[in-house]
Amino acid sequence: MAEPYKKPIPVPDLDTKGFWDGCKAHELRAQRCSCGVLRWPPQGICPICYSWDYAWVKLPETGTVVSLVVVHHETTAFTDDLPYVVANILIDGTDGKVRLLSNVVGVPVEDVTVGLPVRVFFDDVTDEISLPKFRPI
Amino acid sequence: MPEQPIKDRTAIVGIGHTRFSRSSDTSVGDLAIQASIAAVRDAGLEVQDIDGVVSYFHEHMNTMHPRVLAKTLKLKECNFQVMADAGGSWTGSAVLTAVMAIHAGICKNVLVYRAVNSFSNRGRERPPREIVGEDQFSVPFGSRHPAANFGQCATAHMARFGTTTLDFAHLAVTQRRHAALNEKAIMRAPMTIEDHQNSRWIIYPFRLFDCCQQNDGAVAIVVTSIEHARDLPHAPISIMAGVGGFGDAASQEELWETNGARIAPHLYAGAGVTAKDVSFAELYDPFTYMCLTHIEDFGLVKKGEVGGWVSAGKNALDGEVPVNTHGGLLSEAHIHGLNHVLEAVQQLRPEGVRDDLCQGAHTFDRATCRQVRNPEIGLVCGEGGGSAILLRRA
Repeated sequence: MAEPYKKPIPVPDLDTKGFWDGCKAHELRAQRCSCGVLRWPPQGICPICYSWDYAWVKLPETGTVVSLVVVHHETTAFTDDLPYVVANILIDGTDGKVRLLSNVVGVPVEDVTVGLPVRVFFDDVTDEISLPKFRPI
Repeated sequence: MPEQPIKDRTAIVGIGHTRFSRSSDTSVGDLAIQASIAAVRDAGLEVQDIDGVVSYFHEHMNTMHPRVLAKTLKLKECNFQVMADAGGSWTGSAVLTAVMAIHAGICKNVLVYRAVNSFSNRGRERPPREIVGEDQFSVPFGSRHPAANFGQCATAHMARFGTTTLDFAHLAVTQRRHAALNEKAIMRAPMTIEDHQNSRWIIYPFRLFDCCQQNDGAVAIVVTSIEHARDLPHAPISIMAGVGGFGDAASQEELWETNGARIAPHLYAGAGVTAKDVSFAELYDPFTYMCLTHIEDFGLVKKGEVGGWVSAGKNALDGEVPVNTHGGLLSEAHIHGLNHVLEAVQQLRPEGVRDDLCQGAHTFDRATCRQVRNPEIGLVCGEGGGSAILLRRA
């Protein structure tokens, strides 16, 4: 049996369950308001028209790095991963509205730059939680 | 936008602080009390003259609550108290809260303080494993430290405007020079550009010398009405205007911009001045980059041009607009920005700063003197440009 996952895990709530359910099904999802506008992070109300009506929609699997950090110093369960990249990834086809913070892996940290095109994959860390992470295309 | 009705109606009349250190050897409550009593005495008041108490913290209640301070000092009248969980964004708002309570006639003399034992208590908070709220989209990916949060803003700025870590170095070195002239600063050893560039990575794009300190200490100020201020020992330093209301690292629109860009027009209009009237600025600087973007977002230099501006030393004591004349959070101490207010008041008082290396009158010799020449208006802002105030000699 695999070692139990020791890193911090997200606890889905009423607003975010739809996103984490999507990740479990290996799909990126975000809320689209009845007014047509996508939003991120998940919340009950549309920040543009203040409607409570929305649907979870599937997003493209690709995006672009718009900012990044390389973590060299960390005292928690991530110590073994150092150095690692955390990037803001603007998901394609979301009109600039969905910007996910996640890890870009699979290449040396110095090869991750702003503008890099990436594709999502899902890291099934527990039976319930899959973390969306990215690799260069 | 009209001038604010509070303009020059209140003033900072007392300032106090404890020793800034990495071992206070006392409780955070005692630090709060020591700084508060020092500020009350500096104002020429008695403890029982205080009838309003304001403080703030960030997420973890790690300081003395105003309710407890009022009880400890057995204040007979306490007409208003506020404890805000707003972090460094609240530096300006802390002062503004006192101003509003006084201008509204609810309080006469308001004490504002911030006390921390951040170094002595470091590592006591164990991060939880189950992550709720907005942190569920950052912490599970190993983004927990503030440097990881603000670093995203920095690399977005670097990509858009060509800002470099060498620009960060110039800011850090200039502020260290200021700290060398400050007896209460913790980090006073000389630092070169090479020292900065050779310091180890913490979280790229931030090296060790891009990051502020964790330390112990407290700062307190006393605010009163301008009428009352004129009867007190120190020349009053009036609050011209203040704006607060935001708390995030970056604006909602762009990572490379803070909410300072949103509040600055209201701040300057509220005071009836422009950015060109600012003599010096004490700008929140948990990391070098954040101070750089504040310099831009409060209009002291055009957006995108701050790298060249600090590399040319325009933020030095004799520069175009001296910035963080005490050394800032980076080199003086991290008292959640209330030490920025303390420095601004010292710079504006007729006698000037009291804890530089000048013996007697200010010489403006930068080997000993950190007093800015003839300052008229000082700008102070909190983290992410979340709040800001303008001060001047009344």
